[in-house]
Amino acid sequence: MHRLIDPLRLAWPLAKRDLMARYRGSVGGLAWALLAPLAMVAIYALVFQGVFQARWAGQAAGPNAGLDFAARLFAGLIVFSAVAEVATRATRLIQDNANLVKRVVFPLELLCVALVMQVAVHTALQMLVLGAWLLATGSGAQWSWLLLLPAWGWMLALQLALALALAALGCYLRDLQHIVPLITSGLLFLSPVFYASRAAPEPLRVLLALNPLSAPIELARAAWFGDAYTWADAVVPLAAVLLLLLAARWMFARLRPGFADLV
Amino acid sequence: MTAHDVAIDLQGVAKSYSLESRPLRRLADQLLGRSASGHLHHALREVNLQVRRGESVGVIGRNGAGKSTLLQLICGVLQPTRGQCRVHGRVAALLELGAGFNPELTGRENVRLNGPLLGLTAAQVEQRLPQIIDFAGIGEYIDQPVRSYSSGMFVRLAFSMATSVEPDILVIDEALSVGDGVFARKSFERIMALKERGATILFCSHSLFQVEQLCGRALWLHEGDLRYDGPSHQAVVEYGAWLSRNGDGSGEATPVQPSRSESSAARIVDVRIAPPPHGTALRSGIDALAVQVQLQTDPNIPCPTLGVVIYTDDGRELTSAGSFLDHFALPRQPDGSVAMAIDFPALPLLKGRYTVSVFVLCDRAINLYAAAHHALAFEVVQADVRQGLVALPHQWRLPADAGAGVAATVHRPS
Repeated sequence: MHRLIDPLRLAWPLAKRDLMARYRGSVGGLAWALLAPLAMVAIYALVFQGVFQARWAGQAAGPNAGLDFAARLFAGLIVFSAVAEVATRATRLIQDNANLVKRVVFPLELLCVALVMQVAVHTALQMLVLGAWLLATGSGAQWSWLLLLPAWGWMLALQLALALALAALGCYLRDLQHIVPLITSGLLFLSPVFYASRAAPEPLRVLLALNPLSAPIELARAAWFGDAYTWADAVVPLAAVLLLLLAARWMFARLRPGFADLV
Repeated sequence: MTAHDVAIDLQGVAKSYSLESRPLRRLADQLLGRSASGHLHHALREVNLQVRRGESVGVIGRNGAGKSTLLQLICGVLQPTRGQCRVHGRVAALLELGAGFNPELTGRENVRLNGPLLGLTAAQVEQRLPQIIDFAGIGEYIDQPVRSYSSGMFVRLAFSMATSVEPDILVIDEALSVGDGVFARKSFERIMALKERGATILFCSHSLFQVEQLCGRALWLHEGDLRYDGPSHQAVVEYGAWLSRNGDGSGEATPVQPSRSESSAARIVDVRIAPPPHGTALRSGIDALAVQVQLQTDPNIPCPTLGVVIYTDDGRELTSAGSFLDHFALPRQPDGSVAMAIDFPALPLLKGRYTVSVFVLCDRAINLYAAAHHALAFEVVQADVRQGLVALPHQWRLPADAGAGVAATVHRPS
């Protein structure tokens, strides 16, 4: 048990330090962690609903269709932006902490754990807001919300795998700092955020199946709205994420001795 | 030496850096565990070193000799390319003070959040927090963001924190010059206290004087090789001799140019040489060299000591005199001012130009409070044609077996 708990206890001060430093001195403070995603949800919902007349597959048109679309979009966006933020920041993680890498002896993978923790704080806030929103708009709490826990665990595993892999690779290949934001902004449209996977046309489905974000996004949305979820679809992506996590850990350990020489 | 006594044990430790500039190639090398291909820079080659518990070891050498690399390897921040590096005990590294500090957070928050990086639990940090703040002496600034600190305050807090962990091994890289004079003295005393409690100390400095004063043993590193390992006075001699053979063009020889420094602890108000009684030059062996110094010191700290160094025209140290070594207490006025003179009677230097530096040091003659480098110059003339720098007392006599007591002439410099 200690092997699991100790890293968390050590990484939390690091995560706290970065969170505090990030919002210190700004008037909005932690509210920015909410305002930014909510603004994006409003804009996306307005464009897709208002301009493109998009409707969520299988949802009847009604007076609440706009809000319902926005809520479903938000549920997917929470997962997507959490993973995208980890991926983008991981590419600079080692360089940004050059002081720690070169001067202080401590397990560097904690930097990755701390990064995931920080983002998890944002995710938790956003989930609270979505939960409150759903309660306020009358859908009420559902038993399926319990599924949010495995969905979140899945997401954390994916985040940690990406953090380890991209932090280690980003230290060697500075190009990743430019490539990863490009990929994530493109991936937003190739993930089931604005639409459900089953509503996607056949060629797109292949891409969605390859995208490791698809399955956790679908699971999270199924949890929020009590939709049916085909567990058989989860087996392969989940196994892939765990494999990815192991590979990322191995790679990080392998590349780590070179960090201090490079930053 | 039994294994139990050894604090630091390096076996054939080498560190080389790849000069490979292609990122993909570097990545592949590291990932596949290939030894780095292409050009290598050897920062350290095949160093064998054993340091006993409680020993104080100085590390000297020119810039780029591998001193910092050695310290970083011992701290565990760098991994050796070859060989084994074993360190027993908790290490406190005074390499880069305040490395984990975040400028946006307050001093208190930074101490709390960096504690775990130094191996302290949250409870231990809370327990030590008052001491850390008190020792740093930054008062209510502890609750201000670190970015508003002066560099001195920053370093003081970092030092206070780094040394609060009661390390078994203390690795110091030029950190004795922490902050201003008063804190430098305090920090030095804490280091001495740790040393007396049995901590092993590894001390890297350009100040040969400090190394000799602090450490019984010293290592001289040159271009990654361990050139000398032994008593520090001997190491200083070896290194000094090498420096004077190869000092030219190294860019590190002290320029013979007047420069001054001071701190809140002491300031050199005036230094002068009493004018020669005849002409503008001192007569070798006749006139006295009299250096007069006026200081203003902080009356709240123990009375500092004074050092005077005489150099040849090309900047080589010729001789020195220190009030600490001579057990001479400077007469200080209640307001902290000191007026002092030192005489070198019948100056035994031969003809030439010489310069004088004056140093004000702490009461234990370790920390430098103020300095006037090459502030004074004087010229020596002589009536005869003797060659060299100094006139040594000598006598001419018959060899011991050729009859005693005949023709013993004591020659004193005339």
